Amino acid sequence: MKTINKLKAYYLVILAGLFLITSCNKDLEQFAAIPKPVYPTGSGIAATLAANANYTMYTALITRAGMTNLLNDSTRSFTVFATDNTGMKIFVSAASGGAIPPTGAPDATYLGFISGTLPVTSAVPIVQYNTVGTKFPAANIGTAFPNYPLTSLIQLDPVNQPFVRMPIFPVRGTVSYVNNLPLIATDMAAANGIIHTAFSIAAPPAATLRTMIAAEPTLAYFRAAILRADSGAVVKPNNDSTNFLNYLLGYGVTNMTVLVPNDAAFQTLIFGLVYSQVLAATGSIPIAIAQANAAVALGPGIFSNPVFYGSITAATVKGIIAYHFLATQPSPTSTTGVVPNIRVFSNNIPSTPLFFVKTLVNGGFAGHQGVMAQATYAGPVATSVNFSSYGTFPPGGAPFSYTANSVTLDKHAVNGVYHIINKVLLPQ
Amino acid sequence: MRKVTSYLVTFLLANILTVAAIAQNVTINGNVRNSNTKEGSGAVSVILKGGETGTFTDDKGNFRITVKSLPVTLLISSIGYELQEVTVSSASSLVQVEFKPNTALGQEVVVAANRVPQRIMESPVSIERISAANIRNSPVSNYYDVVTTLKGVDITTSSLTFKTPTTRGFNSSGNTRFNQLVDGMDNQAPGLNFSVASIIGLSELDVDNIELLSGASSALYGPGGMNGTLLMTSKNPFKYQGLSFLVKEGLMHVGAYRQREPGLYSNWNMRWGKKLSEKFAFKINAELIQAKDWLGRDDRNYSRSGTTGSVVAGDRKTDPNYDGLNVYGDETTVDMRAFFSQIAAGLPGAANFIAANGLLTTPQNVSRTGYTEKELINPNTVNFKLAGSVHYKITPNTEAILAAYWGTGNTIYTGSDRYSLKDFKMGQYKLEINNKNWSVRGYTTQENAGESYNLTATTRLFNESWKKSVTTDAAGNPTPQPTDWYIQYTYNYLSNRMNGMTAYDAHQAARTIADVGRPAASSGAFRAGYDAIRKKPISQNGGLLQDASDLYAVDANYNLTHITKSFADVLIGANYKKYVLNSGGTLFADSTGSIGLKQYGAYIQASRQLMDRINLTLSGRYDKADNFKGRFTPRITALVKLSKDNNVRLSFQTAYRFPSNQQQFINLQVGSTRLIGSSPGFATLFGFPGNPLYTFTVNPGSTTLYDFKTLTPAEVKPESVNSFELGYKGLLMENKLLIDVYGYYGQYKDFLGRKNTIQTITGNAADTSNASKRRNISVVVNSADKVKTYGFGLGVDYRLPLNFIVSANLSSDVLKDVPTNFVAFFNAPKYKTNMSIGNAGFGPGKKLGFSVAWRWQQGFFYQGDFANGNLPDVHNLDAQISLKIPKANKSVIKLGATNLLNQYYYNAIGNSQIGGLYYVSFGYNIY
Repeated sequence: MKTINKLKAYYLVILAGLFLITSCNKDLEQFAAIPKPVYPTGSGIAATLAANANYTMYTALITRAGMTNLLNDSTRSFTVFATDNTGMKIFVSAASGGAIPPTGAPDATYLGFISGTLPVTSAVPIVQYNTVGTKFPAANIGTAFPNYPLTSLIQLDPVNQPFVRMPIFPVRGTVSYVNNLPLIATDMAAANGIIHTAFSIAAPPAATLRTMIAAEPTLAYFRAAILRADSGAVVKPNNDSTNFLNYLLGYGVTNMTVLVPNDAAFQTLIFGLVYSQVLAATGSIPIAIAQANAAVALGPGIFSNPVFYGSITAATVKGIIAYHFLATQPSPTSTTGVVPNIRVFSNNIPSTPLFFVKTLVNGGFAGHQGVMAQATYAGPVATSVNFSSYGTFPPGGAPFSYTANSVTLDKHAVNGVYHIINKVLLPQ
Repeated sequence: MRKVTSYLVTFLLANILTVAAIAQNVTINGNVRNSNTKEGSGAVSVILKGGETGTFTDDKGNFRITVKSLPVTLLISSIGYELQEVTVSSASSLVQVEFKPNTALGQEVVVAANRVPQRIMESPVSIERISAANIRNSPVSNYYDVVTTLKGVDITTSSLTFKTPTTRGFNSSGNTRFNQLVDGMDNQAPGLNFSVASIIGLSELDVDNIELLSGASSALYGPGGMNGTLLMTSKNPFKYQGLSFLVKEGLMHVGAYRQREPGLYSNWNMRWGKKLSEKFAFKINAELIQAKDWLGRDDRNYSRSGTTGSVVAGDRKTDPNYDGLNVYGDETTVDMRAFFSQIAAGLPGAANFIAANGLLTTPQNVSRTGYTEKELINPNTVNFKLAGSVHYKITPNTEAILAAYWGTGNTIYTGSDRYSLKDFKMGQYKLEINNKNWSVRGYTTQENAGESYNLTATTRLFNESWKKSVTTDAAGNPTPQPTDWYIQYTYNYLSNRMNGMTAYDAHQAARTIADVGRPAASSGAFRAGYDAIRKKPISQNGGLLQDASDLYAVDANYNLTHITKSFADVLIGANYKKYVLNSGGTLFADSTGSIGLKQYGAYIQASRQLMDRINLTLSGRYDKADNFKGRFTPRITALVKLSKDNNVRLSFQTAYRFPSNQQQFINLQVGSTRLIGSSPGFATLFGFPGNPLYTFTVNPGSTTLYDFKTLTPAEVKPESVNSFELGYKGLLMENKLLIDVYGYYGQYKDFLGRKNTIQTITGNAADTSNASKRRNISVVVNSADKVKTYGFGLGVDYRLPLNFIVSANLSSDVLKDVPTNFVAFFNAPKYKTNMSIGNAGFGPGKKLGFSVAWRWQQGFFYQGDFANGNLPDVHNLDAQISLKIPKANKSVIKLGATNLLNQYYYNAIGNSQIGGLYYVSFGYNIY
């Protein structure tokens, strides 16, 4: 019995030992986990603006757009180009068609317009356009010409290509800008982003260059010239991509700058060309004047009149029109890759002379110097811009001595910006 | 030559046709019973002293033997019992023999070590033996698992019914360096070149014994046994008679860590052996295992590079390129930078965003959403075995056997991918004639992979079926469409980022969009679609393996000792094998027809006793296989007798293996890599060296990511190992303590492995740097380096009072001088141990039995074609307690558990994780 008891104790010790050892079994080897994002706490952008008395109207605009929760979402990061109440009043005045003055009315009037009169369908794209889905502090606003496109929340093709966005264009010049609007304050911090304050609302464009130019009463010659440049002998429909320039003006996801001579500019050029040719042929000034007036009287139809196909060739017109599309070029000697992919607002042009911008002409003449541009500023705002061409009229003048002045600046379209000028620029 | 042949035929016929002419006219009836339990003892040898007449007791212990006259002396013997001599003077009454169990250790007889019976104490090489009694008192749920308790054995568990043992390293789910013989037949699946555990083979009640030869064993058993040979022998119906059955019912998947809802484990065995006369006997047996299988549920993230890689941080949420080990379909990966570049080229705003967020500077790989193993595989595993044989004694010493072994089952196997072996079938059929001095055997193995399929390939193709990753044209060039999974993902990811989301959230949202339409694993649409692909052959863009390869083999052995005993015991033998590979192009390059492969060889062994204390054995074997030069493998062993039952053994053994059938003829796409064989035909098929293969190394910090070097694959040679072993086995402390210890040193040469290469599709060397114009090809190569292994094993068995036995063993295997970056797939823990305590009969009437077994293995870095990674230590405790019911004809009730503490473990990366299995069994007529 004693032996058995000893054995029992012996076995129990063994079993206990086994149990203890087996209890040490381990789970799968694990690694330090890839950290999930830690979301910030504190006031979001909408809440930060709402807490600031200078932004009650932009806050109302956000509310009207139904984007308060989005802009307070701590899981996301934004940069908002907001507008303070002063700027918002200017916006309200314009949006009301002048019915509400830009200053002087009670704040409730402006707030009432924003919250009640302004269509939601207008409020949403405005806030979306002025919102960028990343943190972009003022220090990151670069000085490179012409600007640094950022992708706003406006989607141009939300179903098929949701990443195609309406860009917004900050840049640093003498001051910082968004598009052509000076930023009057920067880097207001919110938990989920950054707020910069623009002088006024940067309104999102709603139409393409082609649509907007088509609606301009003083640009009929330009429209006709575009068609002539594209068509050769046959006018092609708008949606034909071989109809290059016209198609380009209507293509929504391009990013262009077009210098658009007005009708008077074309008439002046046509008058001068006909006059000089007839005078050279006849030696008679009256005849030259008469024929020049007759040509001008034909209006824009001169470009589609087969009688003039021989003297106004499609290639000539294409060369001239291409010179009005600003572009970038990978290198001065590159003959390919010249693309109209810059959106040059007036404030992107320096006030200093000898500033040259490439054009589509560089696609055929790689070494062409392009267009010389110079802006005149009043404070941070460019009040006018001069564009000088290599060629002159009459021919033979010094390069870049032939200068067009801006008539209207910063006409903003979905796919670019155009500036109306008073002369037709000549590439050679 | 003709004369020699006629002598040989005459000699054989003389052996076969010699009929005992002794007149026999007195019949003795007797019974042998266990002196302790009073149970009848079956399969006990009863022979006439001084003669060759003999018989066995039946399952109730009864025997009948006819002798010429009385009195006679009968020798009653059986392993585990004391030899008894009984003098019979009268045949008028029943001879009752009280058979006393023998408690001495080390009394087993083994055959495998020298192909002739000898006491295990006197084996000249390391050998382990498992008897039917060991199985009966073991806590394991499946007899095959007893192998894992042997000294020096490593096990790789792919699933409940698929376990792969080996010794001395180099284990894997399918081990081509380890032979398994069942009743003398090579048990490998011809298309796989390794044995599918015990899915095909013996059923539990038919196992007479299992012998394990550790280490190199080609000299006697032919190529392949570089790391060991397992020999399983079934019960002869002349010896083991009667109807037996064993029913185990158990419970799996319990506890908080369980993988599934609790499920039943069923293991039903039946065996019926009958001696119809002294000349004719038969047996039939069957086994059915049904359960919900263990599950590969390692969802850790795996970074793949060809057929190598490592476990890395991250999960489906945190790593967009997540590739779960036991998650399938997520191996498909695409770098989004190609799409980002296109977007940036046309959109300055997007270009700025992409650049500012670094989306072009580092790889932006995204994997498709996968499905877990649990979702994909039918959890029910079934293994059904049916076997039968008829035995005819042509003479008392010559027995003819016609046998059939057939099995089918569902299980999981881990190769270069995880495979579901579904409705896998294999049959082995043999005709064998055994004489006291010789044997001739012919057999065939017929394999049918059934509906076996590759989980990875099938799931990836399924993903492509419900939504294409990226559309391609007829030439394979990408033509992305808005409906493509990656286009939807990329567009939405970028858009989400532009909407202010973090990368983490943007990935989740993009995946949600891209996965719209993804069939849930539980849906009918999923099952219909998935089944359609898994049933379609790999060659037709499906996942089905169509392996129907066969093996035909003949072998013969002759023991010449009765002629040569004056100078040596001599044994000779020869064999011939023919493989017929037939996968219909789904595994091998055999789309145009089956591939035939022949192997043949012969051996001779001579042993001689020197100075009474030394037994020296010399063996040599020559083998030749198609496509390879002949190989000679010698073996020298010496047994030095220090004293009675105390022996030192020394051996030098050689082993080798020809490249496996798969290494010669595989042509299989695995992930982004195509595995090809070493057959010269592949050079023609893939056009090298005209269109060269390139090896590559990563060039960190260089503008060129890779450094390419041309590789012309050399002719592949068989790999070989030379092994030296020194061992001691002895009985000490009045035969209560059995010690077995060994040490070995092995050197592997021409190690067979794989190398990842790149070949351009165009033949233009410059395209090696263009991911869309190159392909990954894995070729078989011999390592120029020699790999060394060494290790030891120590086992002790101690017999305590009252029939208790304590056993323990400790072993170690070490790989040495491994070249940098050499992947050896050594896969063995440095240390492992087994400890057990048991008693086959104690308590009142010695009816109680129990055993407790603990196994520990040290963690190690596992290397496999499927995955690499650190394996943690494994601790496992098995236990059983049993009760014999002697009155019910040797019935036994057993309550047992494997992995009693339910500590889930796994012993290969990506393999199933094993939990506790708790069972109760009832066995009838178990002996």
